[in-house]
Amino acid sequence: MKPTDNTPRCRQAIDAEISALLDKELAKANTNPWFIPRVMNRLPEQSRWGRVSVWQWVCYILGVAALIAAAVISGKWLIHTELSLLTLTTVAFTSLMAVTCAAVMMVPSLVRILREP
Amino acid sequence: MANRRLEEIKLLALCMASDNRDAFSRLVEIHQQGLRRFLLNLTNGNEALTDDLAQETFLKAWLAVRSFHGLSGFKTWLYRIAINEFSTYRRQAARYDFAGMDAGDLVIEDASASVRVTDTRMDVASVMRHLPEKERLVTLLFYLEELPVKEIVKITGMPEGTVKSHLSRARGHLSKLLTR
Repeated sequence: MKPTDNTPRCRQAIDAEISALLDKELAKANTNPWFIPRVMNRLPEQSRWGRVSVWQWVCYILGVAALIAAAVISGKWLIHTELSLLTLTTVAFTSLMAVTCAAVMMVPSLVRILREP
Repeated sequence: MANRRLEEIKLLALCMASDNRDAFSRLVEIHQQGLRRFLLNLTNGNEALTDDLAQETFLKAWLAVRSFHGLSGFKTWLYRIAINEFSTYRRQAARYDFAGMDAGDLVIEDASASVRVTDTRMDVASVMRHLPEKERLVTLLFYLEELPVKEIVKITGMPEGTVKSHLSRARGHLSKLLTR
């Protein structure tokens, strides 16, 4: 099979030989143990929000959604209920809902604090 | 190969979802040797420029990782960035005349000092050096990186006919080395 033969099969064989030749004879880059550290040092500083993972975002969003839902439900209930019917239990329950929503949002931070040595 | 591809997908997902720098460091480790070799031969042996371009490529890749849609492979995307960086460098540093480099300036030694510079190696280096830049680029992508023509079209932005034409001419030059 001569290099001047132009059949697809011949071209494939020649291409394979050329690939092998170039892989063997072309210069290789020197091993540089500092290359990766240099690249990583050049990366920009991580922003505070860049450190937040997906599940943390889920907690934050769920917490905010729960707070909004609690506020809307409480507001609607208060509008349609006479203030004289407002009891300590009601106030406590509403406050507990708000604290629970805040706690959901704080879960990622709490986990991080507990994980720190 | 499938395991490596899966590992790459996992690492990319970590980079995109949580800016995981350890995952990116592993991606750099996987691709740096091949990319640096490609750039070394594209720049006709300029080691300092090779490392600069490679660093810029990975930096740009990190900054743009969230825009990587995975429609092409990560390697294709990375090499496209590398070629854009090289083109930018060429535009900004027109005073560097790569075509005019003497054979004596060309770094053709391997990392191992014990590797003898053979006549074949000199011949291959000489042929590559004298190829026009776009032909050398396509040749390296096809023969050294073993990328198919369609991937080369995506990386370089050249029409398929132009890529095949460059390859045909390069094949003509390089096949003469096979008969020696």
